[in-house]
Amino acid sequence: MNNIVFAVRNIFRNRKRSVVTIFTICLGFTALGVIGGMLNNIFSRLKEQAIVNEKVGHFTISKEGYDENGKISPQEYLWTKSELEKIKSIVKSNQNVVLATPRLSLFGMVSNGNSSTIFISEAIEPNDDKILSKTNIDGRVKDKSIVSIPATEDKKDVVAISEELSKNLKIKQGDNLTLLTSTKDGIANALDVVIGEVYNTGNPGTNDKFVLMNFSKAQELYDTDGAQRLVVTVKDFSKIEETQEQILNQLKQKGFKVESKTWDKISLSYGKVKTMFGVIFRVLSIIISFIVLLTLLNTMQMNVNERTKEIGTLGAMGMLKKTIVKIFCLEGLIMGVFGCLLALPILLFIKLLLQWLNITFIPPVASSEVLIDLIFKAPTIISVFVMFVVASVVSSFFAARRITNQPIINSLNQSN
Amino acid sequence: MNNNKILIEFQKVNKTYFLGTQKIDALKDINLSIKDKDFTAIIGPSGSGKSSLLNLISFIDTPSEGKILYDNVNVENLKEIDVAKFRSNKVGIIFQNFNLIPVFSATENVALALQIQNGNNKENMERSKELLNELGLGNHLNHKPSYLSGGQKQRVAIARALITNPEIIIADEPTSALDSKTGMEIISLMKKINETKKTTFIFSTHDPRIINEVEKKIELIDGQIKN
Repeated sequence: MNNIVFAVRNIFRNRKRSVVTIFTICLGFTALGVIGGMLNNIFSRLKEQAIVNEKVGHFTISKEGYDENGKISPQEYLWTKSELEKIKSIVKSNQNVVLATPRLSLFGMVSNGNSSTIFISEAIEPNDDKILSKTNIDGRVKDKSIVSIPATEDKKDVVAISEELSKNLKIKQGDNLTLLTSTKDGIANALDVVIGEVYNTGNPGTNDKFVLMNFSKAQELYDTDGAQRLVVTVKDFSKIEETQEQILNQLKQKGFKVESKTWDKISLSYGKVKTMFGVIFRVLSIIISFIVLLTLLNTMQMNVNERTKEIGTLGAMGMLKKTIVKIFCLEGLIMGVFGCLLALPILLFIKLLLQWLNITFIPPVASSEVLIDLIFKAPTIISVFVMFVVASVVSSFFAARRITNQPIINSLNQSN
Repeated sequence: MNNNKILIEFQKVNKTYFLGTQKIDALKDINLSIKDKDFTAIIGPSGSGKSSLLNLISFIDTPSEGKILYDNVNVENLKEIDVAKFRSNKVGIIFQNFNLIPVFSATENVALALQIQNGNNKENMERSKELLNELGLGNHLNHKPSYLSGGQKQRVAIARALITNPEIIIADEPTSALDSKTGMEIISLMKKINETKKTTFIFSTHDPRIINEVEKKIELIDGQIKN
C-alpha cells in the first residue's frame, strides 16, 4: 500500500464529486483543444492561401532595394537573363530547395472594349506552378488544386482573372481583354489576352483587380528578358529561414546584392489574422482556465473539508503535513491526467464529426471559404495538458495545505 | 506500588480555550506523573477536562501555560517534524469514534501506522495481519470499516495504536460508542496488552463498571485534579 493507492482509493470514495472534477478538467481541455485546433486550421489554411494560392512560395529573392524602390524605378531592379540564370543555378544548388521560379509583377489598366479598370498582375511559369501546388505547408504536402494558366506555347495569351474583376467588367471565360501597362522603360504597351479562368484569389484586397498571366508573355509586355523576383519553395517547412540564410550568404559571396522576404512577411492577411486570433485565443484560454481553476478549487476544497477529521487522525498518528498534502496533490494529479486523457478521444471525435459535416466559413481578411476542421499540434496539446494537470494539483495543494496548517486538535474536533 | 520511571510529567499545566470572546479554563494548574507500564483511567463527568488532558498527553495539543515532559524531554521545544516522529514512534491513540480510514481494509488501517513510522514495507501487512489475528479479527482482515461492528472497529483501532510498539497508548472514551458487554471486552483486552506487552495505557471513561475495574484513577472535576 503506497500513497498512490491511497490517492486512487480516495478518488473512488466520492465518485460523483470525482466524476464532476474529471469532467470539469475534460471539458476545459476539450474547449481549449477545439479552439486551438480551429485556430491551427485557420492559420494553416491562411498559410496555404498565402504560399500556394497567392503564389508567394516560401520566400522570394529580389535585388537589394526592390521592395522599397522597385515600383518607382523598375528597370534598376530587374535581373537580366544571365543574372537570373546564375542566381537560379545557385538557389537550386541548395539541397532543400524544391522550386526557384522567376516572377514579374505588372500593373496598369485592363479593358473589355467598353469599360476599363486598374489591374495588378503576377506573371508565372505555368510548369513551375504545378510544382508550387505540391508545396510543403507546415509539414504537410498536399497536391492542391490551384488556379493556373495553360503551359503550352499556343496558349501563352491565356490569363486567369479574379472573380470581382470579372463581375466589374462583366466578362467571362473565353472573352477577350486588353491589358495596358508600361514597359520597364516607362513606354506604354498593350497586350490582348483571352480569359481562360475566373477564380477567387482568396484575398478581398486583390480579388477585384488580379490577373494571372504567362511569364514569357509578361516579359514581352514589359520588354525584358529578365525577372524582378525569384520565388523559392523548400522541402522542409521548418527550415525556411535556415535555407534562406544559406542562399543569401551564397549569393553575397558570388557578388549579388539581394534582399529576401519570407511568405509571412509578404502575405497581406496572414500576420493580421494570426495576431487577431492569437489575442482571442489567449483571452478565451485565460477565461476558460480561470473557470476551471475556480471549479477545481471549489471541488478540492469540498473534498478536503469532508476529510478534515481524517487529516487530523493522520496527523495524530504522526504522518507529516507534507505527506498528507502530497496525497491530496496525487489525487489532483491523477484526476487531472485522467480528465485530460479523456478529452483526447473526445477531441478526435469532434475532429471527425467536423470533417464529416464538411462545414465551411469565410475567415476575416479572406474572400474564399475555409473548411472548419481541427488541426492539433503537439506543443499546444502538451501545454494545455500540463496547464490543466498543474491547475488540478495546485487546487489540491492549496485546499490541503489550509487544513494541514491548522492544529491537529482542530481538525479532529471538526464535526464531519 | 509502581517503581517504574516517570514517563510523563505535567508541571503546573493550564489549558484555556476561547469560544468567541468567552474564555474557558479547560484545565487548571495540573500537576501529575504517569509512570511507565501504568494502566490509568482519567475519570470525571462530561466537561471536566478529560479529553483536554488526553490531548495534551498525546501531544496533539499544546498547553496554554506550564510544561509537559516526556521522559524528561519538553516535547513542545521539538521541531514540528520531530513531534510528528515522536507521535509515530512513542504514542498510540485510540479514538472515541475509532477514526479508521474508510477506504482501507482492517489490515491496511493497521499497516498505515507502520507505514507512517517506517515507510512502505512488505512486512507491514504481514505484521498487521498477525496482530489482528491475535486480537480475534482473523476473519475480518480484508473488511473495510463500514463492514465491521463497533467492537471490531475498536479492536482494529487498538491494533493500529499497538502495531508500532509505542511506549504509551492513549484512549479517549474507548468504550463510549460500544455496548456495555463489548466495552468491558475492550477494557479487558487493553488490560491484557498492558500486562503482556508492558505498554502504558491512559484512557478516559465515565462508565462506573469500568472505573471499578481500574486500580489507578485520576479524577478531574472542573478542570482540576481531585485529590
